[in-house]
Amino acid sequence: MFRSVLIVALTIVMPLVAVPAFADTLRIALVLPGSVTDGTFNSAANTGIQSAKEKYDIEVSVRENTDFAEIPEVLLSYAREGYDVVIGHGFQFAEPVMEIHADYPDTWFIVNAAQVAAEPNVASFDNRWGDAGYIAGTVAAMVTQTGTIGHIGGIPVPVIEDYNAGFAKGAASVRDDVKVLSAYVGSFSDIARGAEITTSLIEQGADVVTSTGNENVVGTIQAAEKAGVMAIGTAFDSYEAAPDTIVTTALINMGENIDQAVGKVIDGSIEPKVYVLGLSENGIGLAPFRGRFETMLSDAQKADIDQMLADIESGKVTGQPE
Amino acid sequence: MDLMLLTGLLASGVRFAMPLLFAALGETMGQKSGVLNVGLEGIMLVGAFLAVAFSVATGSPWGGLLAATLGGAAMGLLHGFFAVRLKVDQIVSGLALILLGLGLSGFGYRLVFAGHQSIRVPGFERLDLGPLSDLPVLGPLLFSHHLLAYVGIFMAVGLWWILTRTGLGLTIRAVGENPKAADSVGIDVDKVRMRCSAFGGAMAGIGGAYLSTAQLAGFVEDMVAGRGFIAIACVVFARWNPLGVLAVALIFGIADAGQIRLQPFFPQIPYQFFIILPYVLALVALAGSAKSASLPAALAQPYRKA
Repeated sequence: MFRSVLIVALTIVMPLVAVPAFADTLRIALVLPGSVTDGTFNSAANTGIQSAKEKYDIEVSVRENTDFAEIPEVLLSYAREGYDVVIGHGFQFAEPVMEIHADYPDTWFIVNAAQVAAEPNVASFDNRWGDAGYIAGTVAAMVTQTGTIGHIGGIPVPVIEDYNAGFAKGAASVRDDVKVLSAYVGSFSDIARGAEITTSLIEQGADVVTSTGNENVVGTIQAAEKAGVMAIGTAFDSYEAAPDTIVTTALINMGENIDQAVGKVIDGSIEPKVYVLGLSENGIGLAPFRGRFETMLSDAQKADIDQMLADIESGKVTGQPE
Repeated sequence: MDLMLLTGLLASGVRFAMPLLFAALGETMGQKSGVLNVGLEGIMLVGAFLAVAFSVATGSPWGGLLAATLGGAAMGLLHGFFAVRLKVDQIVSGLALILLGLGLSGFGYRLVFAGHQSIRVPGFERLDLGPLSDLPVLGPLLFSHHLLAYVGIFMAVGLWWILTRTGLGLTIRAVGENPKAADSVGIDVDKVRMRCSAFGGAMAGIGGAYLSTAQLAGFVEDMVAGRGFIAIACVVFARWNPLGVLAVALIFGIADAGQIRLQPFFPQIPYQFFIILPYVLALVALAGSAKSASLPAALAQPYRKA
């Protein structure tokens, strides 16, 4: 009898005693909607957390392929486990986080690519996708021969719609007569359909295409390469994937969000607010022109691009929706 | 719509149709013998991954195709082992294959290609028949597809001939319609079903290989994106006739190619209305042929000797 009581008592007490022993190292969970091999959205987050891991003394758990329906359960399990920071990668994490955050005040909930915040422990990091679209649109309108350019989005989630609007706005700032086509794949992983949609836009005259989403971006780049037209990468520097096709990349440094979030939690400067990272915060950027594209733009055009970047940085020009 | 857009539409429809065609042809043979395999999605994923891995390893898309065919056949045999030999519920076994395929292909991809994001995959080239491929309209439509596409069309005709005109076809149909009668004349029901299941798996593997080495050149997780399920709908819509499968796969393909071309013309209509088109077609197909007389009578029923 005594023994069984002791065992029961120990099983209750042991975890309580054991947990604080790890409290020195910050424990961070990164919850991803897709797979880290997608080459864009989820890879970027994973790269961000891995570089943060090298920089800081943290313990990291990455969970991939989290369905929308699983999100609350996954967030709860990390919070109950006593993780110090739980990062949800994607706007779809905003609502579940808002529902549970108050019950776990010792955990910071960070939502990436969304704009939510709540006292005392919810912050979000977003990039200026509209500005990135504006940059891509400007470059596309400068290099197009046919005057028709196209954007192929995965699924029209808010950030992709922002990019789409910025793309059209940037293109129109270069020439009035540019025709901007846009279409959506309806999936982030169906690269075959992404490629076929790109082909259809090329058949309609587009000679510069760009794409946002996850794996579907691969389809766009392959279709552009096959058809011999130009493409502008998004988010990740895609030059290596197709050196003769990728003019440049409108960088969206989602890894930077995670790096900054972790840094702010560690130095204690994080506040429950929305952080929007633009050009000056290294949240977005423009990759260099390489290979045959190095000489494609005239000096005047290059100066125009520099001016455009400066205007975005100063806030004079924006691709963000008003 | 001008002529160039129309040929573009039809050619794109053919490309969309091919993965469906291969998988659906294999499934037709399986179902004709009484084996329902809902796991095509998983087998196609494994096929797509193996095709990429072995194309890179051997330097030739044919090496990849062979690996995808064998891998698909192995998964078909696995399904046969559970569904035919062990008499497990065929739906359950098929569902297990979907999850297995999803996991195997994703895990294998990370194992083989970890850190090599921009690796070059030697894919199938489109056929260039010189002057024939340059013909207006007919060139892009008929004479400039991947070799695999012609193989698919040839197989549709060949399988139709086998099923309806040969003793082998009669055996397969007998096993699927009335296994007891087939057994009584000395046909080994389980053996025929195992072979048909393996054949179905091999064809689904080829369908996956078409996606990853002909239509595209590369693998990403979950790239089959539901085509395995549409392929099953194709079989039902086509009433278990290989020639019908060819026609239905083309209809689905062209519907898909059509919806993506309509999208930019009507930006005011929500894009979802276009995307659901092929799926609405699949639903109508299933509703229309729900009580078809061509349904193999012993479909999904394990055969136990009395």
